[in-house]
This record gives sequence, structure tokens and C-alpha cells, in this order.
Amino acid sequence: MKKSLFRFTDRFELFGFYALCFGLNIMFDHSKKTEIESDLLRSFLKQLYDHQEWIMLLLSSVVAINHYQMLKRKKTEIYCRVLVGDTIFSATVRYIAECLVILGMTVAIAMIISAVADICVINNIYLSFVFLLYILISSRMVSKLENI
Amino acid sequence: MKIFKFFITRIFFRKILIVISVLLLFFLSDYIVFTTARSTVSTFQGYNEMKSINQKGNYIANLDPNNSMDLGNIQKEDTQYIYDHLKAHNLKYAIFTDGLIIDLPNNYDMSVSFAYLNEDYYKLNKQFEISQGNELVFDYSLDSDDTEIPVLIGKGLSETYPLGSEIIVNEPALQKQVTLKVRGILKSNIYHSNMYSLNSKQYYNFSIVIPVNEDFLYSSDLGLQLQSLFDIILLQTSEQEIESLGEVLQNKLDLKFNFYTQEDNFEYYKEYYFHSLKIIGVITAILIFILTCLTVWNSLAGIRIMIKEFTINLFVGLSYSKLRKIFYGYYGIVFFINLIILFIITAFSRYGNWTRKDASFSTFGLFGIIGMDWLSLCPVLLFDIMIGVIIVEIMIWRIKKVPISLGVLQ
Repeated sequence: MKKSLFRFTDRFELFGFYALCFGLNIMFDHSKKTEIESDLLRSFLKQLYDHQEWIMLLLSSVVAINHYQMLKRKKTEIYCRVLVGDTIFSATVRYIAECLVILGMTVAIAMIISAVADICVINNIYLSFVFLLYILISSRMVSKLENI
Repeated sequence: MKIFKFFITRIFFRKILIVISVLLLFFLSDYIVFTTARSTVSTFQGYNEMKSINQKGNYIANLDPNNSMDLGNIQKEDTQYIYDHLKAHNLKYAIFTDGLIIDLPNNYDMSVSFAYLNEDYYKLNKQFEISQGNELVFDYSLDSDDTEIPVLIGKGLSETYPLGSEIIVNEPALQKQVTLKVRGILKSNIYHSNMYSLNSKQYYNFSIVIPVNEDFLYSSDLGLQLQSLFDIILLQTSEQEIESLGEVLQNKLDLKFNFYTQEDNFEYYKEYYFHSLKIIGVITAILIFILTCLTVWNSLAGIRIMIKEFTINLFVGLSYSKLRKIFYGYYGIVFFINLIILFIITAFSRYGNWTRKDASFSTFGLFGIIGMDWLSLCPVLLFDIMIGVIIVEIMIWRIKKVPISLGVLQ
């Protein structure tokens, strides 16, 4: 924790973006399940959840940006840590671990809400994999920041 | 121009991830605004169409949803009895029914549907406007063997069957061979909205509009007679007449019909549609608010990363007003790309109806794009301009907050 690249606001931001994406995903799934009497409302929502996967993928790009801009800001810090004896490998591992903890917490909350509301969790699982991919790709950035 | 090109190629495009993310978020917002605008425009088009039918003194029939339907027991004599009852009581009625499909050769290889309407419906609903030829007439006779029925045809059929041409078909409602004479050609993209789902409509570019007179109705099969009763509109009549008709329908067909007055219908539309539109408005507002906040955050994240480049340029003489213009130009390009993508997606979905040979939804226009789509792109453009101004001003405010010396040092 002491050597973490994350500050409180960074953790909060990342958690907020994960929560937002999962929240919208759950809302989409919930609205699919809900019996809507109004044709107009139903056809409007259908136009959205017909493209749910794409909408979520586009929205998840903010998480990718969050990783990118955070690491860009931290490049001097990473460089300095390496200067005082830290290794780039352990910095990367710490970064991945911390991202996974935040993601894991959000996924757990999303799963609990889905289970309580009796909503299919498959879209949440897909979304988790997308975020996992972002974490792994962004972790490559940490090693690239060794030399500035 | 040179400095603008420099900023775009050397600063913005160097942070391609930020550019793509802003583009995608804006696109998502544009898509939601477009979907909402199109649903609203379509609903109002349907509402305006219904307003012409839903006049004072008119009663619109609707089969009771709780009615257990057993249409197998209904005979033609039963439906004929209803029409005789209407005639005996001097009740004027408007009927419109469509959906019967026939195979008729045409340039687009589409299946052709028949739409049937009587004179009162034609006068009541002025939806079937013509671009060539003359208005429909209803005073033909079916007595002779070489019956010739004057019809209106959709624009898609006009190349194969020009004005005045004769089409010999096996008429599905009359179940005999008749000659249809093309009297008029409908304007392109003539539509009819579903009375109970105002936003859903079908287009009559590949339809033949057949005038139904008493002769035709009485000679037609059970299907057309019964289908016409389902949405029959009783014109300028009284509550007592409607009650008596309801009883006849119940006794003869064992079907319970509800008849709605102008007030009932307007109340229904107000309660049902305006309420739904309000919910759609709220959902859109929430989604747009979230997306706008994310886009602002994204743009500010971009500023945080590119602050060095901006401040160096400010340091060497770039003014804030010029920087503001560069930002407006940059977002102008982003919005233009988004509008093009939105246009392509809409055109693709409209053009899909042509490739699927879906005659009821195939429309004429640039790649099938119709007035409703163009109209819905206008709010998107307005929204983009509004959001663009907000974001650019926030970005300039953020840059101004960073002292130039500090920014350069970063």
C-alpha cells in the first residue's frame, strides 16, 4: 500500500468508472426483464439494448482513458521509484494487483445486485473481461515508463 | 490554418487514445439524442394522422382485449348482417385495412400489398396524397365481367405500371380476377401509423390502394369484412346507435367491441403517449448528463496530459482566443465525423429494408433516408454545438488556471 502508485482520488475515480459501467449494464439488463406496457417506451428502449454490447464497449473506453492518463501522470514517480531501488516488475505487479482489487470489489457488488434483482450476470462477466484486458494492456505502459 | 494543422497532427493526434475516446463518447450521446428525436418525431407524425380521424362525433372501434376470440365460428352471413345493420340505421363508417400480399412483377422485385379503404376513410384521412394522376373514385361497378377498379399505386410500382396502365390480378379479397386501372401514383414514402402504436408506421411505396364501395365490400370474402370491423370508425353518430351496434356485434359475432369517443382517445393519447414521452425524455436526460460529464472529464484528462504542449505554445505567442478557435475547429471535426457515422448507420438500416425486400419499410430518398431521419439529425447538430461550446469553454478555463511557467516546466 505504501509503495502504491494510486492515491485516494485515483482509487475513487477508477472505482467510480467501474461502478458506472456496471450500473448501466445492470440497468439495461433490468429494463430488458421488466414488463413495459407502453409500445413507445418499449421500442425506444429496444433501440438501446439491441446495441447494449456496443454501448457498453464505447462507455468502457473511459476506463481505458483513466488508466492511460493516470499512468502518464505517474511517469516521473515511477522513474524516481526505480532510481531509489524499486524494480519495474514489482511496480507493475503492484499496479495490476491494486487494479484487480478495485475491479474485484466492483464485480462483487455488481454480482450481488444482479443476484438480488434476479438478473442474468453474463453481460457483467463480459464487461469484467473487457476491464481485465484494459488492466493488462495498461500494465505494459508501466514498464515502458521506466525510461523518460 | 497552419497552426490549426500543427495542433491537430502534432498534439491531438499524438494522443490518439484520448481523441478516439472523446469521439466514441460524443457518438454515444449523438446516437441517444438521435434515437429520442426520431421516436418523438414518429410519434407526433402518428398523432397528427390520428387527429384527422379522431373528430368530434366519431367513434373508433377496438376489440376488447379481454375478449376470448373464436373467429372460427364466424360466417360471412354474420359479418354481412353487421354491414346490413349499419346500412339500415344509416350509419356512416370509415374502414381501412391492409396486409394482403400478392406477387406482382415489378422493377424492384418486391412483394406488393393491398390496402383497402372506403370513401369516408379516404375523405377523413388525407394521408394518401398523390403526386401524379387523379384522386380515387368509388363509383365503379363489379357487375360486369370485365370489371375495372381504379386504384392508386405506390411510387415503387410506378415505373412498371405507369399512369393509365392496367393490371390484371387475382384479387385476394374478391377471390376473382379483376383489372386494376392505375388512376394515380402516390407521393413517395406515404405512410400510415398504427392507431395503437403511433410511432410504428408502414410505408406504401409498394402498395396498391383499392377503393372499397358497397358493391366491393358485400362481394368480398369474410376476411376483409371481419378485418374492416376491427378498426371501424363510426362517423357523426350518437351514443344510442353505438350501444345498439355493440349489442349486434356481441350477439352476431360473439365479440365485445369498445367504442372510443374523441375525448376518450385524446385522454388515452395524453395519458399513454405523453407519459411515455416524458419517461423517454427523463431517461435521455440522465444518459446525456452522464455522458456529458464523462466527455468533460475525458477532455480535461486530455488537457492534463497535453498541458505542456499548450503552455509552450502560449509561451511563444499563441493567444487564448486563437487557442479557443483551434479547440472549436477540433470539436467541429469530431462532430462532423460523428454526424457522418450516424448518417451511415441510419442509411445502412434503411437500405437493409431494400436488401431484405421488406416492402412495408422500404423508403425512397438518399440511401433510403427519409424526412423523419433528416429532421432527427437537426437536434443532434444543435446538441453537438451546445456541448461543444460548454466543453471548449471549460477547457480554456482549465488551461487559464495553469500558470504558463508551471505548464512549461511540466
